[in-house]
Amino acid sequence: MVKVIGSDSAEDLAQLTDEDLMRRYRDHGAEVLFNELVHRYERELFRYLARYLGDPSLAEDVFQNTFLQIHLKRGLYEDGRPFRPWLYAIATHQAVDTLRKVGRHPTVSLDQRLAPAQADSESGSLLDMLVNDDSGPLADLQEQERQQWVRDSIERLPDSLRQTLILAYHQDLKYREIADILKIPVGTVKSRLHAALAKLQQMARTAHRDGKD
Amino acid sequence: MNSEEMLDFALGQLDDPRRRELEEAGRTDPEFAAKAHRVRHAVHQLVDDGYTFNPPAGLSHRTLALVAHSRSKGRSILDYVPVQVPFRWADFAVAASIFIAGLLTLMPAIQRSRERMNQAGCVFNLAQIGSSLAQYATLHPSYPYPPNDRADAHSGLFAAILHDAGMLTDLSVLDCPCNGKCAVHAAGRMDSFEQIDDLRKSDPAQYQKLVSWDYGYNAGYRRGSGRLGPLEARPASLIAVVADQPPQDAHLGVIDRNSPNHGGSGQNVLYSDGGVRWHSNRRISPNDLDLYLNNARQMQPGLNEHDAVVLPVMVPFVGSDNR
Repeated sequence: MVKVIGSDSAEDLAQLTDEDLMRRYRDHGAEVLFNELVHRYERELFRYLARYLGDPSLAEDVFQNTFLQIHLKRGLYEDGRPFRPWLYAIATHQAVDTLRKVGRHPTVSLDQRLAPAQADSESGSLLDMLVNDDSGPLADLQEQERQQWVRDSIERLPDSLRQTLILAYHQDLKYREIADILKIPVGTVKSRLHAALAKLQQMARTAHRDGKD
Repeated sequence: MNSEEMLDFALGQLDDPRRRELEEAGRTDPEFAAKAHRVRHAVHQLVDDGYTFNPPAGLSHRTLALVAHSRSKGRSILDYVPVQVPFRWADFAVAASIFIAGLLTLMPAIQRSRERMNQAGCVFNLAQIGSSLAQYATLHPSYPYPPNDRADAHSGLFAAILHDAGMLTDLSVLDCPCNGKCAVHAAGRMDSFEQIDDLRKSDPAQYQKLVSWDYGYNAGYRRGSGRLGPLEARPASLIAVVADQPPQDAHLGVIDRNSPNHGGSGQNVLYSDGGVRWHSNRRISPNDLDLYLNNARQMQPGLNEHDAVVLPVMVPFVGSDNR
């Protein structure tokens, strides 16, 4: 039996996958389907944008523009394509444009190579750094101080590293999904994430040493 | 397990079943569990900023209102993008038909344009030859003519005489572009007039290949004394000097048959004043009944100065009685 679009109850909609909702919205344009998608991703996407942009009011604008783009480009959605990476890719593009308009954050230089061939040796050194700092360079700081330091430090990371770190750690996305969103190979995603952690560790050590001096 | 896998495990990036294996290892191996915990804790220390961003109240409603407003503004061009475009033979056939119709429509125009270009090329060639002849005429009393002991040389060798005099270096001007490429390039480096004329006797096949250009030459006319002589270089006299080659021998006698260079539609003629004119028939003036035959209907030099006869390249300067 073919169901009439628009007659879906909230329960029916909740049982549909993101991809089903998007496909049916693309084909029939029923608003209820779109509403379900917006409500489904409201919290998750806003959290990502707010953290990436560092400004909740900018994040609100980008969130709205992202879903406007989803509506306008619904005809370009391909069957079988996972919806989440597609949504994040559009949101990331919108966010990058916005950052470009409002001016870039000051970033620290990235003075280590990110070649995938070196990934293992870097991972090794990074793992050693993470495990061997028993007390941890940030251990002396109060929790609130540490959190403030993290916010400041992440804001100073280069955009490409910050994007990857937020998507992997805060949004819990898999490497494959991040690669799909950022249109880069999985190996590059790993390198960027490791580079971001190494950079933060290095900054923490510097801060710790300066604090002691 | 390498360090990269350990990091991926700590960051929650490993997929099943490997993730489950390592979790099991963590339950049975305290050292491994402690190490994984320390890595997680270190990462958490470095990255956790303590923020929990909550969306502002009404964000989804404002977003939906924005999209609704966009809907009410009318359809954008993206709304007309087809969702799926399956391949259909009917579409292919329509596209192919349009392509073929366009091609058929354009072909005559392209053909005409190419003909006009080739016609212009032919005029340019004759103008270049005319320029060479004019230079030659500044140093000689007449247009190219073989010495008395070589009177049986072919009229086509006028080009070799010009070349010898250093006044015709580009041999490609002897190829009319309207009838396809002739083998002028086979000439390569043209030898002297005498060497080419000797080749006529020693290697006729090679000679045939060498002297294969598309333009015939006015080899002169019979004087009142009965002797043949060259065309005198008097630009004002307006005599046809060079022209598109005559038709085949079989058609030479038919006055309606024009040069094969332009598909029989006519011929370009270079006059002694340097001008090139198009004639759609062989009668080029009231005094000259046939460009390719003399007034006695023979393929011989003209009976008088105004009886211009353009001979084929393989006919001797003294003419041919047996044709």
